[in-house]
Amino acid sequence: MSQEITMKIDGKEYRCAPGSSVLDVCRDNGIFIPTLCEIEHLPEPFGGCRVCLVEVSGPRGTMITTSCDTPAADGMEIRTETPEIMAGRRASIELLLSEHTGDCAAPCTRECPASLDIQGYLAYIARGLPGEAVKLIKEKSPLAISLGRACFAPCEEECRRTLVEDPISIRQEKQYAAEVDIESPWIPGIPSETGKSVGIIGGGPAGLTAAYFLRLKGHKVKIYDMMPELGGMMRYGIPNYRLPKDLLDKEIGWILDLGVEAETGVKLGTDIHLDDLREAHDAIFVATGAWESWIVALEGNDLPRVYGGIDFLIAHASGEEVDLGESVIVVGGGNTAMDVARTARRLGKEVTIVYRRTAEQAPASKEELEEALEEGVRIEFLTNPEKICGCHEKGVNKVTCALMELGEPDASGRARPVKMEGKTEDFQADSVILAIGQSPDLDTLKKEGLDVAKYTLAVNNKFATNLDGVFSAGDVTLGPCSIVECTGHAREAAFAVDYYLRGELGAYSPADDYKLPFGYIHIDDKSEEDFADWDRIPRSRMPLRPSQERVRDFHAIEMGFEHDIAVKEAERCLECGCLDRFQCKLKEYATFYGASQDAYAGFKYEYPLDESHPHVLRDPNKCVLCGSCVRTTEEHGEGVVNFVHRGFRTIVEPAFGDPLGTTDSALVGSLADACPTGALEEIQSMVKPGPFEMTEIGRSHCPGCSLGCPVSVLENGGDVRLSPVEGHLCDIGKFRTIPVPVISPRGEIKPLDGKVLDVFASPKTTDQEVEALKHLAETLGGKLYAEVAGTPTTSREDITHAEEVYVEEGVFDLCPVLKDIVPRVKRTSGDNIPAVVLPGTQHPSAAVAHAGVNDLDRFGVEPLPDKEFQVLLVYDTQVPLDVKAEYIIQMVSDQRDLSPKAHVVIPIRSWLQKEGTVRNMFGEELKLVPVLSSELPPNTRIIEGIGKV
Amino acid sequence: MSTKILLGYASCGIAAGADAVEGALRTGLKEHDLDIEVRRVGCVGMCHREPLMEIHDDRGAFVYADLEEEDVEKIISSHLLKNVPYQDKLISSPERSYDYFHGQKKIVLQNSGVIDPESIDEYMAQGGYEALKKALTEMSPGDVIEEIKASKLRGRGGAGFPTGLKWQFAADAPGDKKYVICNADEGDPGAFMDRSILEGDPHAVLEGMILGAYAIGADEAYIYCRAEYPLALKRLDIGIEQAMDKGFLGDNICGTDFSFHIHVKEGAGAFVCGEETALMHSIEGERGMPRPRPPFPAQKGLFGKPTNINNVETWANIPWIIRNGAQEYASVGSEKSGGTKVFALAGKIKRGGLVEVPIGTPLREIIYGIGGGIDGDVEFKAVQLGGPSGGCLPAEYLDTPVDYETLTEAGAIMGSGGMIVMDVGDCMVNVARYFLDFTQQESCGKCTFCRVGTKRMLEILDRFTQGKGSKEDIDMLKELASHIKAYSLCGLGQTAPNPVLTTLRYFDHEYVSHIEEQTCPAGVCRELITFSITDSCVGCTRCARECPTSAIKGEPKSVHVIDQEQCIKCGACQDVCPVNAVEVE
Repeated sequence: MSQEITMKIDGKEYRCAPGSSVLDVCRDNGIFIPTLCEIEHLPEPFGGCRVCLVEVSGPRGTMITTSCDTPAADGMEIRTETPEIMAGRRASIELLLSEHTGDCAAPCTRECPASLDIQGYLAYIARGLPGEAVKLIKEKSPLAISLGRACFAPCEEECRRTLVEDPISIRQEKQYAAEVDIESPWIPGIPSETGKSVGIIGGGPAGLTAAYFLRLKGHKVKIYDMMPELGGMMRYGIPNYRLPKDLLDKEIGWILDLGVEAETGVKLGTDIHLDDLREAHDAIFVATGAWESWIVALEGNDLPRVYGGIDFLIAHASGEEVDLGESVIVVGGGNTAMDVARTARRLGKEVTIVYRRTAEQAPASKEELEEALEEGVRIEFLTNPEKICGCHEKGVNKVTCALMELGEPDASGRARPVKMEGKTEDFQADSVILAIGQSPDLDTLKKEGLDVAKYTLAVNNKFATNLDGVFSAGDVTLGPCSIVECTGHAREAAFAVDYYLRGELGAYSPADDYKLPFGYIHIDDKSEEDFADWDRIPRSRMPLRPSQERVRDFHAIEMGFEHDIAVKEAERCLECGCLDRFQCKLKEYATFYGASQDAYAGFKYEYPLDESHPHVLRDPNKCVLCGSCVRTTEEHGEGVVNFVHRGFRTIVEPAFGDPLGTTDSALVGSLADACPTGALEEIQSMVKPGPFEMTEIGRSHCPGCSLGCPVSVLENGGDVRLSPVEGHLCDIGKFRTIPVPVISPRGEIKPLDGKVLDVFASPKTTDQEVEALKHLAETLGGKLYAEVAGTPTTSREDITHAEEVYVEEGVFDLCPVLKDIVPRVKRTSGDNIPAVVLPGTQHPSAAVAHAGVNDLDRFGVEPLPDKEFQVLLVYDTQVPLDVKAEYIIQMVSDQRDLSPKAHVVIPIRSWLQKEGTVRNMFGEELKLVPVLSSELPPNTRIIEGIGKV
Repeated sequence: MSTKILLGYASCGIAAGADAVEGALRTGLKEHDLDIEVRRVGCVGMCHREPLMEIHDDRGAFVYADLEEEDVEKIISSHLLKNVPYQDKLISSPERSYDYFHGQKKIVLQNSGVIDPESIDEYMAQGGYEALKKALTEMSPGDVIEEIKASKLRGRGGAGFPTGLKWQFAADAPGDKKYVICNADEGDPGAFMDRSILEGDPHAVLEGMILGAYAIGADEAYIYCRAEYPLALKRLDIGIEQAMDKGFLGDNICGTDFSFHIHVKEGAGAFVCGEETALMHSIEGERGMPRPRPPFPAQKGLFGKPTNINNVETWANIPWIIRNGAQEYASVGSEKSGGTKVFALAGKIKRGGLVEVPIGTPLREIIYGIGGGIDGDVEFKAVQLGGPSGGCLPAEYLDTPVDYETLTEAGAIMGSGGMIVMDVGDCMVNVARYFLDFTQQESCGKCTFCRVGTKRMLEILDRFTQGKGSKEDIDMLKELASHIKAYSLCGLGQTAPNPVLTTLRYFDHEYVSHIEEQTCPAGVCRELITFSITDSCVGCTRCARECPTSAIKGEPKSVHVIDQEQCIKCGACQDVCPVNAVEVE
């Protein structure tokens, strides 16, 4: 049996001990095998999820089977990555997805072309952390300000809040956060330089985004732009009143500050050429945009004072004067038409927009249409220009338009406008601006040697053009679109360039990000009825300058949200996305294997949420029946949840279908830890929990009870959570030990004037604090008191190997995790001291369980006597209820311990902030590590300080 | 030889009215002052003719069938008083035996229907417990295992693993404490072999288990029997008590130092508990869910101890083998597999019931010989073997010898012995759907492929039977089936697609009709058929009265009409029509 096993995995030889499973061997050697049901520390495999498939060749032939329950055997050959295995794993995941219901990423995020974590940044804003919100936005795009000002916000169309009353003002919230951030902007760090350089042609939203992300990968970046200043269409296409240029300058400045070089006023094909740039750089990123106005084949379009929409905007933004006469006809119904019309209005012109469809069909946003009307722009819908009249000498004088009506739906599904026979109308005008579209300058690109498609530059699915090392994104490859589309597109393309520069382009596949359609209920699947219980809170509207005033200048028209409004608005977020999104293994695997939610779509049960437990939310709709919670609760010797029913109806639920909240188990949090999806998830105390990716900031020991379990401390935006380092963490540790900081001192310490000072200390007190307290008490004629428990006479080792262990009543309430350590339990009752006793010797060895981690008996403490104290110092615990003292000083680290009986309150460092040693119920010395910083001096110094008063 | 009367008193007989017949018989005998022994016996196999009564007199055995209370007096007055057999209900006599038994070979069922199953003395009179005595006095445990190996007995529960080899593994496994389990959790729809054995000859099973325990070194056993088998449970309890009294069970069996105790554990009827690891979980008090193997029960079984688990029929073979020798047993059956197999013959068959035939007997002999052919003499379409884990074989397989290998090759399995005969009136898509529905509902829910995969397959079949299927559905059905077969955790899932796969293989055209023409050739799938009344209607109004939705209109004595809007296609009209005027299209 002790013979070592030699086996081959993916062609490489590995050795392992007998009794290992194939999965064990793979995991020990860092070979990735997905699994949802395997619990590493449990000896028996469960074999439920069937995801951990591998190909096994042995004496019984070659077959694909699960690795968790296949024992490693000598001479075995394993393959982990054949197409059949991948197909099997994917099938298993797709079957699980077909019964897994719930929003994964929220609908807003899924709709966002740049995949911004909207639920996340709204949560930060709600929590009063706009800086964190901007950081989250900048993980996906550097253009927070520009998007905040000028995004067309498709996210709002998908916002579920619409089913309550109105969507969240998402763009306006982003604007708030981004502009608050201006004061002390967050600037990301740059990793070490790679020595590679990228030339980016075009400094608009796509080029700037690519510059930002490539720079963050450590590459040298230089932008070449044909215009005098960077910003592209954000500067030259979007009028200042919508996106103020001083704000844009800041945003661009921060990108340049990262070390991005820029050369402006150089045009591709004229001043610079692709061949030269390819020589100068390791890769080229073409982001030249779509700068050519479409001029329709319309009689009279060659007359003087007929302009292209974008040409007009560019000219205006460049400070050129454009001869418009007094009255202008703007043709088109998109945002550019609105920008043109409103710019012309601001120049004091009479402006009429003619558009061949209806207001509802207009691509311009409703807000823009309304604002244009407010500013005095006339809009004629169902009106199509047929002829521009005038002469070459005097230019335009009128436009003849056909009047339209709606007919049959066209290919896009919109009702097609058709001419009303013989009905036309003439509009007097001095100039005409055709704002009907724009396109990339394909001729130049062709001349530079690039292949083009019908209207755009041609790229493959890795954003690569026909020329090696030349990539492209944004308007030039997408056709004219929005900032948010360009920035999202360019980010992905930048990653492709990074892969290319690392010589790994083959391995690059576009990140689907949150775009996988799994776990996602589209807004259509939910109805008003689902949200009938929600309070109606109206959407906060962006305050605008009065229309009479704003039409006179080009200053920003939006005045921005006040802090309180922004917070209130963010609080309206329904938090549709799953709180376990960043921990969900199903999401991770589904993404990795390209699994589709709809592959095996079929009937699903709908279960109500179980919100009865104070700390753990149970959502059976997300349960994949991996059994991890069932096995974990069995491991504790409990049966909080179990499988019920058979077949497709099988479900994991608490006994008798009771709500989870009715359990008296103190180990429910560990079930959420075991859950690979969001079926059991920790309820967080925060107003808006995110979700966010938490990072480990350190490790220490839980002070909740005499076990002192090792804990990993996770943090994000001030939100602290604990997770077990190994084994489990009980609900006391998970949910009750994180202190609520004590904000300010209360009262003033008066000189003791010879009065006796006694100390009552909590068992959370470290050895070093105890020494200081003892010294203090003795100096001032008093004594150190504490709850007396008893010093251990046994070790963890003894207990785990004992044949029988006697456990007093109440022990498991104090130390729930002890259930996992004590394998064989006999309960006794009698003594008052809760103790774990090992039989078999005349003097039984015992470990004494108590609340609070430290064994203070070693210091000769005594229980608090029933007497009247002169001065009592209560240290890091609640003031005992019936204590009698003339004067009480409370030194405390947790708000919840504060007592009104205390005359003086002195804040001290909490267990997460202090350093020191404690000894647990097995006599093991544990080191507390200051994981969180504190402005307070070390607790021992505060104690010393008291002695000096 | 004195006259005695055997009365079929298994569940099948009782269900058919054996109680009333017995009452009339005992009253009649008393009235006529006849002192004749009446013996309640187990199932003789002819379930289709119950209640049955067999009179043994000097001339031999006379079998009366399909008895009703009023027949009894006639039999007494004619046969018993005048020695003239009562011809109306006589189906077998010494001169003319019933051909149901031609071709059968009774090993497992040798005592069933012959002895009183509640009498250990009658069992012993037939040679019962001789095998145990022989083993304990003449054979070492190793000898017993060798004998079973030589007999070529293979597990009768379905998978057909060689029994002797399985025992060897358990015997070789290290450990002082070992268990023996009898799997009596017979769950296939339509299967009742094990129940009949337990009801008809419980001691054969007990003796088999004692021999097995002796061979592998076990001292404790469980019989896991479903609670729906109250008579079997009662007879097991009686049998265990009697065996204890006789010293065949308990401490120091037959004066040796071999001790062995048997417990009976009642199962709640979950199909998956027939799977051995789930069954053991259930005995341990856990939810009946299979676990991965290895470790196999022989290494780590019940309560973590080496365990040998066999099904009822396997155990019932053991005493015969030890008593008559392995050679004798192996000479019955096929080359690779010795002995007989009991089948529960059901469906569209003239003579359904329990049949025991040597392994290797061709299907045709069982269906047309013993079973008498298709009910109503219509065309045979398929035979479903092995229950929900098995497959459907078409007519071209009728000459296939029934053997583990040949059936597996054909896509079916021997299984526990269910044999359902289908004729042209059966829709194979619907049959596949039926079995899959069963396994889907009985899946323990633990593993993904079985729990979700079978559900998705079922949904596809549902679409087919509703005329909503597509060709892509067929591809997905096949893909799912192959994944489920390959990757499911236990036998339930691994075999669940079999009915679908075999019907796809042999009756592909029926699927095509459902998908491409939205028709059900057999006229079974309700969404695809219409009922109509032909001109041969005599206007008796019975259909109109029977129709639950009042969809049938018509004046008495004139041709009736079905309103298709209201018709729910329940077929009630067709069932009651005296002139077969209701047609299905």
